[in-house]
Amino acid sequence: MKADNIPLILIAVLSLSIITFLGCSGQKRVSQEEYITWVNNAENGLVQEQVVGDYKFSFQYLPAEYMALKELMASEIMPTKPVFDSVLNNYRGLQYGVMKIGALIEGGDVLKQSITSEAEYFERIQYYTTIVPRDIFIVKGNDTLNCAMHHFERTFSISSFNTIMLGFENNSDSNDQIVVYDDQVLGTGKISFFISREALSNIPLIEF
Amino acid sequence: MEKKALGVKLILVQVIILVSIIIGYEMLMRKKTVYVDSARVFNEFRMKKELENNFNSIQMERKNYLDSVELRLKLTGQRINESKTVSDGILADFDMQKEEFFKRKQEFEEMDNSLMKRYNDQIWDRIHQYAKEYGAHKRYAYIFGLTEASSILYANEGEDITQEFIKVINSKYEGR
Repeated sequence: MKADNIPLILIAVLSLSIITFLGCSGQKRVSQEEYITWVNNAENGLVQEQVVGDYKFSFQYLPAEYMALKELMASEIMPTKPVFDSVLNNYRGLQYGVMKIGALIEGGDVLKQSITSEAEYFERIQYYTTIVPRDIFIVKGNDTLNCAMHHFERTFSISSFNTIMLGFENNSDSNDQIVVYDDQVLGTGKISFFISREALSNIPLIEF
Repeated sequence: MEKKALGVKLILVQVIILVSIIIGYEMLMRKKTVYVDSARVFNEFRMKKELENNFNSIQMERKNYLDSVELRLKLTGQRINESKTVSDGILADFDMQKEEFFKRKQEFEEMDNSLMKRYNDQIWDRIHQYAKEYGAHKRYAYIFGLTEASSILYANEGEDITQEFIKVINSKYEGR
């Protein structure tokens, strides 16, 4: 091998390494619509479901970027990069999710399912509107990340499931996350949703 | 003649292959019957361990409360016995406290029993749910639960999936 060729070979190896690194970094760039579709697609690991007793529970992890994008889409503002970044700033610091609890019995309402008195119905409303954050948290590595905000949507029997929007504390760990709902009113016991580190690191970047 | 013999052989080989495929497919699709040791599954299920800890701590709190009330009652009783003159009011108050104690003790026992039943029901409901999902996934026809009182008198150890099932339900309980 000629000594003159060595720098060329080094450059080629370096370029190949950079291309390989970029190719394997996992975070691809997608359009805004594709991003929404990706996050909502259960195959990507951010949506988890479980059936326990007469109820179906689902949890969807919502990246801060998703929240910002949804807000902009709802307000019909053209999501340019600067506008998006400023909205995203409002969502930073917490991590978000939505938990849905559905009654499996046809026409069932989660708030009314298997109750024996009217008092129990109001007890459930009280629980979901005020107490539930105490019983929902994320276990990430050795940390427990508490629920910092929540919003329970009542559906008045129009829908067979109820929705709870959730905001959790965040930390910089890149571990798997287990979202735990330690139910106190439906009689199901603890429900866990596993969000893998891979799923989180595969979340694409939004292209503007 | 040789050509005819070769033809017959080829047909024979094809028939054998076809029969083998059919038998193989049949065996692959045949639904299996397996069993688990119910007591072991129950005892080694993480949910059971967690709820047992919860139950023990609740029971301990109640016991501590009752112990302290009982001690106070004993001391009061002792003082009443030692004193020569006790007013009717003190005696009535003491009787009322005793009555309250026994009532509370009975209440706690009932609450403990009801909580234990609720926890047991929750644990078994969850085991049944996971068995349903796992059985469907593995295409099992039945997953029998063996208990000391069960009517199954013999089961081949090769069909015992207890260990594997415990691993599956603990993993599912963690949401995996």
